[in-house]
Amino acid sequence: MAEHCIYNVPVELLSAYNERHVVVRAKDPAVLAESISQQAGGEIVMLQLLDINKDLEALETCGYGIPLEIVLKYPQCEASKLYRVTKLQRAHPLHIVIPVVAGFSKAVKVASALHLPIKLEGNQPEPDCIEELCSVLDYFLHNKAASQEIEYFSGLLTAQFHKLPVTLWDIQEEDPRLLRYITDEGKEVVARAPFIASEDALDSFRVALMERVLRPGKECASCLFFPECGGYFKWPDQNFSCDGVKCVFTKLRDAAHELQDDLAAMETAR
Amino acid sequence: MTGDQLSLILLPTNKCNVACEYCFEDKTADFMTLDQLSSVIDKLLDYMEQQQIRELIIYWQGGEAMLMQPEWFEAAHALISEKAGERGKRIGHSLQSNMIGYSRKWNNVIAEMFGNSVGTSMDFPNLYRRAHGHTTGEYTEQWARNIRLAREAGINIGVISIPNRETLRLGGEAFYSYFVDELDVTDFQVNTSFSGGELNDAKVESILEVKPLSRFFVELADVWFERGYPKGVKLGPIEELLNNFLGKPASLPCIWQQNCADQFVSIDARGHVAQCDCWVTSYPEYRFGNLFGAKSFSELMNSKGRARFVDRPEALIEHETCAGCDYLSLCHGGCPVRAYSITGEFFVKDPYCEVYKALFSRVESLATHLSRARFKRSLPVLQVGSTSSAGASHSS
Repeated sequence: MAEHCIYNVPVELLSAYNERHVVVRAKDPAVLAESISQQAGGEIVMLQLLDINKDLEALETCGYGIPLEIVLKYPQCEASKLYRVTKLQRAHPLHIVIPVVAGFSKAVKVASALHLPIKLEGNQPEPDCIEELCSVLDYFLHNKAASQEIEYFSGLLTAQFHKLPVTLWDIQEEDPRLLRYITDEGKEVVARAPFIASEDALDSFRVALMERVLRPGKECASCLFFPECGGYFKWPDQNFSCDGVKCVFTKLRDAAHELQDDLAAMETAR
Repeated sequence: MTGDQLSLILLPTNKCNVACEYCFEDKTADFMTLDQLSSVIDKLLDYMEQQQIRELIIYWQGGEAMLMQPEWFEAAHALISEKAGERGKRIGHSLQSNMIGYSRKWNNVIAEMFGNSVGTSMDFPNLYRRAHGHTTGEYTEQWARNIRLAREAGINIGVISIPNRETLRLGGEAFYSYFVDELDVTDFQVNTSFSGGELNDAKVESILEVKPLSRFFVELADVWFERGYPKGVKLGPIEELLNNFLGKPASLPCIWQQNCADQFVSIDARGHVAQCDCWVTSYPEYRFGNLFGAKSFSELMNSKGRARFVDRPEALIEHETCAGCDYLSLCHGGCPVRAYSITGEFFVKDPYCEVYKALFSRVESLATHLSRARFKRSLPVLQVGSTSSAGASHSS
């Protein structure tokens, strides 16, 4: 175990991580609520609920102030259930994690209408999801209802606008140097779907990935967006074509430039 | 409840001193006694402690609230303040009255208990508001006289108005002029009618057609934006919508809350508890139960009757077109009582959906216009044409 890391652990293995900073995950809200009293020496930095369909009452009055991430599995079917989670906001800062799969935009729009912060799960989107991903990005950029963050769009826009040296690994809080995922079997893996083992050691995971994807002739080697992406979309499948996701980076870069121009004009006028 | 505030629409009496033909309440002659009020407050405070709710706002309505005497309100105020103080809770009060029974004897209690403000109602033109055996014209005269008296006593008057078929014929300009220019009202709100309870001709004709009603709201928004907004005239819900689109804090009406079941509840003079005043007297089958007979308020808040209301927005996302609507964040499917009273169905969206969308769209345009005008005013002339508004929602 690395001293400096946060571990995302299943509630059943929590006792093995007693002295650590942990994200505790479970399907059952009552079990998750119970876990708060179990953590002796370390700190629960976040709760992660994996099933929105269960009765949420147990989480309404426990662990005040501990952030709660609710992970959707089938976003199109589960979108309506988001109305149930709003009452949890009295006790917890909330985040809704939405996988980028067909129909995910419905959940984004409902969560957004309820002013819930969203994190899009950073998988390698299927080609037929790219159009939906771009339309969600347009919604984020241009619809006034999108008042809360939608990661990774918000983080990328901020990074582009302020020219910050951060990548999607940082924005999504999935850098293996800082956060690790403990599988239900107790295996330590990259804290990102599909939660599989990496061929590289986790401490040097990003450097090793970068070395591979930046080899001459590789797509990343000539990609304008590598500084913000950091090879994020080349994992786990390094043959994934980034043609689709580049439209996301392009739109966000253009929006950041427009904002910079507008603000510069305002500044000049003062 | 989602926040640390509970809102209660309390009907201390179900009796009324007038007989408006389109009223959604089925009235009775019941009055709440101070003992009954005491029991209600105890149970509410228990619930607030259990749910860690800090504040209760009581919206006193009726029937007609002024059929209770000022002395009753003074005693009620003292009783409630004492009980709230003992439990470390805050309780605020707001009064809604038709003002027909108003006289100077109300001034003290209005100042002490209600912050010197009263909400009242009047339509333009008045087709349905009348006292027993009197005309609508006589009602309007009496109301205007009492409003004048109250204002002379320093009382702030907010007016709710419900458009009718004649309002739509006369248009937004005439409507605005009547309230602002003729009556000197600077704080008013436009609601749409609820044809609750037993149907009659007035209630049937109060269900307005979507297109003319949309036109009216859009015209009214334009008139207010041009004439009222610069002068600080408050016109709900249009002003609140404008604030919302400008990214300012906005308090939208109950019909557009995420879920009204999470926001408030109503108790009538017989102790019946329901979602709001529109349900509590007129739809017995939709009540949550009776508080006088219940052990606790939470028993009623966990009732099957309330669960229907809690579940409604979820059902609308599943079965209606709401999830695809650009204005979902503002409306959430609209008002359950309007949906039920017009369609006879509960899990359907508000039949005035298109009216709301027309209004939202118009006010959004006005907000964009206002933002652009402010932005351009702050720029040197030569740079105005070179700016773009893309990314507007995140640049402001």
